[in-house]
Amino acid sequence: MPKTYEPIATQTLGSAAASVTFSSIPSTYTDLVLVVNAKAQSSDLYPQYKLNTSTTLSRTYVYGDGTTAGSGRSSDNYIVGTNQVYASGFLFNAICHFMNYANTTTYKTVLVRNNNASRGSEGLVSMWRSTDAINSIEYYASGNFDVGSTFTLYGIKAA
Amino acid sequence: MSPILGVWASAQQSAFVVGDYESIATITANGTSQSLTFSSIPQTYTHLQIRGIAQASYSSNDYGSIGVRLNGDTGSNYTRHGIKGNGTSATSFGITSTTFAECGDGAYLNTGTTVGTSVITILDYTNTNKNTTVRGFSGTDNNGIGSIALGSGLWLNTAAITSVTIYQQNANFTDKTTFALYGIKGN
Repeated sequence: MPKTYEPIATQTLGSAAASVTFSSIPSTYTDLVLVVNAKAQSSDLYPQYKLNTSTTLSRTYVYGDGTTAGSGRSSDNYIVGTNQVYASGFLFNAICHFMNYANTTTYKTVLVRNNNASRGSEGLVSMWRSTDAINSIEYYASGNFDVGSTFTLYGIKAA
Repeated sequence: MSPILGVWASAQQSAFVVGDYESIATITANGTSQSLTFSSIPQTYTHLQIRGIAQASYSSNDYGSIGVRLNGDTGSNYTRHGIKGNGTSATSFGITSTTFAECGDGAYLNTGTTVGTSVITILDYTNTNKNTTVRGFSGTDNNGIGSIALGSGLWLNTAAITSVTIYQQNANFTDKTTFALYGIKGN
C-alpha cells in the first residue's frame, strides 16, 4: 500500500512573529494537516487561519473550559479562529484538517482541534465557500507567537 | 522531502519517518446507496483511519449523522456517546444498544457544493481480546447552520475488523461523497 502522511514544510520561529504562511501548496495530496505547537509571546491571543481575503469563511464550534461547555458560530468572515483566548506563557496546540482541499467541485471543509492548558479544549468545523483548490494558508494571531513556536504542514494522499 | 513552498519565517526541515501511515482504498459514492463499505481489510496494521467528505440527497438545509458499522453487523450491538455543538448550545449524547457507532453530523443533507467532513479512527482493530472502539471527529458548517461533534463508539464484539461500513441514515450519499481508508502501523 502506498505510504503517505508526508511533511511538506515546517516553520519554527527564530523570532516572535504574528503569522506564518504556507504558500504554493501542491495540489497532489487529498488532505492537508497543519499541526501547531505554539505559545503567545507576551499578550493573550486568538490564533486563527485565513485562506483568502474574501468574507467567505464560517464556523461552528463546541468547547469546554473546565467550568462551562458551550457552542457558537460565526458567518461571512475572512478568518476562522478559536473561541478561546490563549494566555501568554502557556503552550497551545492546534491540529487543522483541510479535507479534500484540491477538489474543484465542492466548498472546502476544515476540522480543527484546539487545546490549551490554561483555557480548555475546542472542536471546530469550518467552511470556505469556494470551489477553488487551497494553495495558501496563513495562520496568525492577534498578538505574536513566541520564539520556538512550530507549525508543520503535512500532506495525505489517498489511493 | 525538501521544502518546496514559499515561507515567510525561519524554516527548518523536521525529522520525520514516513512509512507508518499507508493508503489502503478510496470509495466515491454514486448516488444509489446510504452506505459505503470497505471490505477485505488487511490485518497487517494496528489502527485504521477513515477520512472523507459527505453529502446526502435529502433536500434540506441541514446536517445528518455519519455512522460506522463493523463486519456488516446491523444489529443493536453498538453504544455511542459524545459531545455536540450546534452553534447555539453544547449537548452530550449517550446511547446504548444501538445499530451503529455515531461519529458526528458529517453529512450535509442536500445537493450543491456544501459537504460535511469526518475523521474516524478505529483502534486496535485486529485485537481479538477486546471490543472495538471507534473515535469520530465530524461536522458540517453551512454559513449559519452547522454541527460539530466529538464522538466515541463501541462495538460489543471481539472479532477482528475485516469490513467497515460508513452509513447515513437519512438519504443516499451523493457523488460528492468520498471516503479514504488508511492503515496505521505500530512498532
